[in-house]
Amino acid sequence: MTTHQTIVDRLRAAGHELPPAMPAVASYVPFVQTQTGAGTLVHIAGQGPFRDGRLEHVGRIGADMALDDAIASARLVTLNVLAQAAAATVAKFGAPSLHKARCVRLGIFLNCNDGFAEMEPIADAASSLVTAALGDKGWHCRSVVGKPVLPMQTSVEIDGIFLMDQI
Amino acid sequence: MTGRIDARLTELKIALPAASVPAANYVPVVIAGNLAFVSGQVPVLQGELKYLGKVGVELTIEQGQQAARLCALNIIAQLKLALGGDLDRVRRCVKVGGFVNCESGFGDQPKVINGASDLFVAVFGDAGRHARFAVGTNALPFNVAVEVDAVFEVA
Repeated sequence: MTTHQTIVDRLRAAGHELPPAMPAVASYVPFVQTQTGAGTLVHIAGQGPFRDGRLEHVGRIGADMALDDAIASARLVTLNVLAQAAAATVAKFGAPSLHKARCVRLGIFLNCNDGFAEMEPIADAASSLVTAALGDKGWHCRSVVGKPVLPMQTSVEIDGIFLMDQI
Repeated sequence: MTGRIDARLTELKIALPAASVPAANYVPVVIAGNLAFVSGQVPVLQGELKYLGKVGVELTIEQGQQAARLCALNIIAQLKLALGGDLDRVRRCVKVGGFVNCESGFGDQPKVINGASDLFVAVFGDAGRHARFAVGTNALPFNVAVEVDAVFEVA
């Protein structure tokens, strides 16, 4: 049976540690839960490439950031999205329960050069990490777009919608 | 199966494009309860990318509108596949997100994304009227001119 620990272990096996959820950096909340007939939908605010409270990836993809760094950045941001989803499960179930969370949608924003077209490998790094962690519940829809600039010159920003089971 | 919406598509002489399969670990549509979330669709027709470049530079507004319309046709095609072929399960179009590849200072994003919005209304009638955003961006995947995503209420 998949438990929260299973998901933490899957991430570890892939070389990642599930981070603590970051507080919001301005006048908003990191996530909002809303009841639907299918369960609780969690809207997660756009996350950035922070590690231990410090910004790790700054730069413009295709200009001063290489593809490999952009991919690493996308993975780090995805971990922060998963951390918020985990925090939402704590709020709902009283304990970390990522195994009860299903990823519905990711919005992926890349700080990149005008006309930068090779977004798929970067976005795929985010999507693959979610499916690696959540298994069948990781299959989400997504939108990927470029931006001429992102807050604090971060390279990648990702927001998300998750669905938590009724149970 | 020929439903009400299929008949409407025929009446409009619209043949839906083949729904494309994502190349990576994501899916075109996720249904969460009564909401269907559709991944951002690009102007692809039978596997071939159309309308590459920036609207207002390489492409006219009219071509941008055609690109948006093609994105919307792909959304309907993906939705139909996810709904087991039955577009009559669509209750309404809730939200459309439109991204236009353009230069800084370009202001006609709403006109461009009307290409998608008008199609949804033509196909679904009043149920096709939706909330939306239409924004410009400096780059889109594969250098396509327009990307559109959507949320629908379904039965």
